[in-house]
Amino acid sequence: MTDETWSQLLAGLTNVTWQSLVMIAVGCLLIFLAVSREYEPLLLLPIGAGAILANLPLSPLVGEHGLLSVLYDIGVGNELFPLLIFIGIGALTDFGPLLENPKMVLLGAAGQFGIFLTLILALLLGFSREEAASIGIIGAIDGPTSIYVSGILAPHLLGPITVAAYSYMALVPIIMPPVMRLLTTKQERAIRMPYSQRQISQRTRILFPIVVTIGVGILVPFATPLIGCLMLGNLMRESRVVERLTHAASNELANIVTLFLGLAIGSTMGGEAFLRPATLAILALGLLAFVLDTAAGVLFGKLMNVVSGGKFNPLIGAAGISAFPMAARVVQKEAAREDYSNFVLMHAMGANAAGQVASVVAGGVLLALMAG
Amino acid sequence: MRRYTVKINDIEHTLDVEETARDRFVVHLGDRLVDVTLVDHEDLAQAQIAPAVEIPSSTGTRPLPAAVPSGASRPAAATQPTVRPRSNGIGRNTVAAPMPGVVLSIEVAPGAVVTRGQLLLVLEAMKMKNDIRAERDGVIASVSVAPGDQVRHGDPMIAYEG
Repeated sequence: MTDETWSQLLAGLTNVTWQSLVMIAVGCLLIFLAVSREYEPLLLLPIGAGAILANLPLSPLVGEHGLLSVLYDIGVGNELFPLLIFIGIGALTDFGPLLENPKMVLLGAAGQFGIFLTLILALLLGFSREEAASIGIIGAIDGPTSIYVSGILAPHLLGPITVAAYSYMALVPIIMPPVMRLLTTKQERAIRMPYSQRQISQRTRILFPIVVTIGVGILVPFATPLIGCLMLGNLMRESRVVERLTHAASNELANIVTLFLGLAIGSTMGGEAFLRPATLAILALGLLAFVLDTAAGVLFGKLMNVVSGGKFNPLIGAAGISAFPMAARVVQKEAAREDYSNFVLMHAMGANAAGQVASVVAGGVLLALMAG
Repeated sequence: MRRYTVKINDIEHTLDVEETARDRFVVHLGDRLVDVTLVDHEDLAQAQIAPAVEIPSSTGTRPLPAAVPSGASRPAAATQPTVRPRSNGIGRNTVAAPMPGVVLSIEVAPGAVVTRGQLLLVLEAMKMKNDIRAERDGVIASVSVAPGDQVRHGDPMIAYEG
């Protein structure tokens, strides 16, 4: 055996770098969080696996015709996958609570403040405009929107931003309650809100996605792909005539795309690109964006409480983010902690559904700002 | 639309209460139309119950619910009967569904003695399990729902004795 044969046989070993080992460890950590903590396992497990597979020495999965690179090229580089996932989300989302309570739109808008505050902070910390906008969008707490926006503006930050967005989405029940408790009094948390049930006609339910698509599409053209897909899914759901398509979009399509998306995102987490101080800054800023969103939502809820003469539970403001329906559930849990027979869930769901639409619009606004 | 025929100082009045939304009503009083918004309502269980009118069953009217205290002059009192249209107006003696959902499990049986805060049933709404707990001590008289039942807002689910 010649030396050359040896070096070829042992190429794997000799090409191990400390960065790749660290990234494999990061991948294992993500898989651990997915398996034992059930933190967004549907995404974090494929992302973790993608990170491991991409960081193995000389991995044939990345590069020309490598599985991971092919997945990235067909669906992440051109923004296809997040949009397909949005069709599934639309097919799963019931906008009924929002239609029953249209004023919740205000809370959805308030829940996006963190995005823009974080953007400014990231600019001050020296990130470029595109990077700062991509970091701010973590505050939408919306995976597909974050992937879509950062994929266009700052593809080199896709890995950390996606991991941050999905991790914080999983941490909604841990991150939100302290902020909510800090900003509200016991009396405010115990405010009861009568459930105002209004019959929403099927015609309204069908018109809603169409009107929103056309309205948002004209106002914020950059949001058209996201809102169009989200509302297409919702139109299919509410029309009740294409149940096979609705079912396929919310199950098979969403599941397959989630797997592909997770693997492709994981493969972007290369050692050299990921292991930089900037990654830590992104994670920290993303967390800040989330906290600011929650705070802004609760403070806006307090304002609505003052305006309504003490009849609005400010906790509901915290649900004005995109993490659906986790945010609304956390709000209900917090309200029930003060008063177990206080049910604000339906109001919170309305705010939460508004937050979902608003975060998409916010993504479009960011893209429009950066294009200008 | 619900019609109440009440007698005040021997003069009979007919009130037609039309529910336009959960908290909004139109009250037809003679030829007057009054828009009523329900701001708040509570059941005053300790109040004296004085159903002074005998209701002829043929006219389709219902007795004023026990919860309306005699002599109550709050504007909300007129609309109170429609607030819990499906709870038979018993209020404090009934556990009504706080929101639409599906009954997942029932943790008490008729005859059970419950204390305030005790878990009565679990209601799944928007894919979230909600504990419905006893708001007072008491004895369960009847359970009118079964696991898997779909309930609407205000549907009576459990009744207390007494």
